[in-house]
Amino acid sequence: MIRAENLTFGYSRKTPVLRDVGFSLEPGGLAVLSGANGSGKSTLLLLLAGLFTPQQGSISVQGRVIPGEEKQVRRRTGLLLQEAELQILGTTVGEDILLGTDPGNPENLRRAEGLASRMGLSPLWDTPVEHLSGGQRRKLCLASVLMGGPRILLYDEPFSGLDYPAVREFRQILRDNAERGVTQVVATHDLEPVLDLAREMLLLDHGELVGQGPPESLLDRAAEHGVRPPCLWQREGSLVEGLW
Amino acid sequence: MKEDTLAGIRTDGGRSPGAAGAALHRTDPLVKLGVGLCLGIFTWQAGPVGLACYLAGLVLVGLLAPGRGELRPVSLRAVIILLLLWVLLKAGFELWEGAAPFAALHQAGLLGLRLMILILGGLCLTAVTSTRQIGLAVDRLLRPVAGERSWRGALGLALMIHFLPLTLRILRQAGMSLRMRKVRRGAATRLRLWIQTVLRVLARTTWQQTLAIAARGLDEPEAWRGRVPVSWRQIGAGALLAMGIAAAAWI
Repeated sequence: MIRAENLTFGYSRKTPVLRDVGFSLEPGGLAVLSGANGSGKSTLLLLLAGLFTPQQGSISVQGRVIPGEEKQVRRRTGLLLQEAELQILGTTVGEDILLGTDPGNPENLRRAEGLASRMGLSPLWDTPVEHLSGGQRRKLCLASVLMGGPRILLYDEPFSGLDYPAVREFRQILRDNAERGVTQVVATHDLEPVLDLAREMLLLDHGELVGQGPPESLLDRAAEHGVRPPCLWQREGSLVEGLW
Repeated sequence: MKEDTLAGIRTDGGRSPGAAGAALHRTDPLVKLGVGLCLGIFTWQAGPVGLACYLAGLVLVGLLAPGRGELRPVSLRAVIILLLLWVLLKAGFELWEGAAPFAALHQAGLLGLRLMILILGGLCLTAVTSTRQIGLAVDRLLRPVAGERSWRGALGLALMIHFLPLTLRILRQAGMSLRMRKVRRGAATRLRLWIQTVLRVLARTTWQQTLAIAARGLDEPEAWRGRVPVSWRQIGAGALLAMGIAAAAWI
């Protein structure tokens, strides 16, 4: 369970990026966090990941409360940043997945190999990271994040820059994680690739939460808050299965 | 992949080594760092014969190193330009100070050779030692001095290794943008614009990098601690090699 109450945060005190944001998300589901550029999506993710402390309000993640338990929250969450490049610090795929774990522990190696296999990266285990495509980098980041065993995954624009096959693969990974009971929050301004997977939608506008509920209930209002509704929704008035 | 890892050849996710280079890759990173440090010091003491020995040794390591392709992360052209620049500068200073042309060239050549050995030594070290291994070695090395904060050295080094190519790319891209936008200003203005752009992009990248490190939990001591077994045989072999390096300096 993730619960945010009266959340206010800004990088400087004079200009808050988020104002009085409050919501709650049930465990195990996938929520899409949407809004135009600069609406505060990424900042909200950073707060949920325990990387910042709100100036007002509180966040509760699986019973751990911020302010106060940032470290514990960080251990329970995994964050996938938009710029995969920066999140990869290893020289090779294998090294990067294992970074931050005890290399002398064979259990870690087995887990890393299992994750590489799940992400389709096993054949690339020894490949230098600079030889990976954008989609492979994104998957490597996710594998590295999953090594920490988080029960909550936060994604910042996971589909940006990915081609059609990579988007499809990534969608499958989201489905997989959902089946494993991982709570997922996907921040994106592009609803199309993720909407049919989402159980819940949060709509941000200029740092304020202007809507929360099932995606269908918010799509009519999305455009007025700077978010383009999916094309098929506009044409047929309902979500169409099998788009991806 | 699995056979190698089960045999214990690679437990840190590094490159898969060839048969000859496996031993090099398996060697305790602290021993490799120690030998590298020794080479770095004695390179400045050794004469031409000693330097030639070092060079031959490094070429051998380069040939044995797992994933030899990785010995070329730096562009060869950039290295040659750097070496030539220093050789010319050194020759120029020697001539300026009144040295005979042959002596000036000799000194400049020695400097070029020393720099080449240092660069090759660094490349060999990174080819046979993963970033992770280097990080763990630095953590162990600093622990007696820095105590619980030793992991910061490991993180710092890993970041430096990560940031070098990133910074080079930013420098190159900033120059390219200026050329493509056909900025018709004086050299001083163009230099100012280039520095401004580089600093702005670097500042943004550093901020995002910090978030990325924190998001992966690499800013905690546990992330940089690992059980590395101490092998007295490897330490002995490293000490012998170090003595050999020291001896070659006096040839």
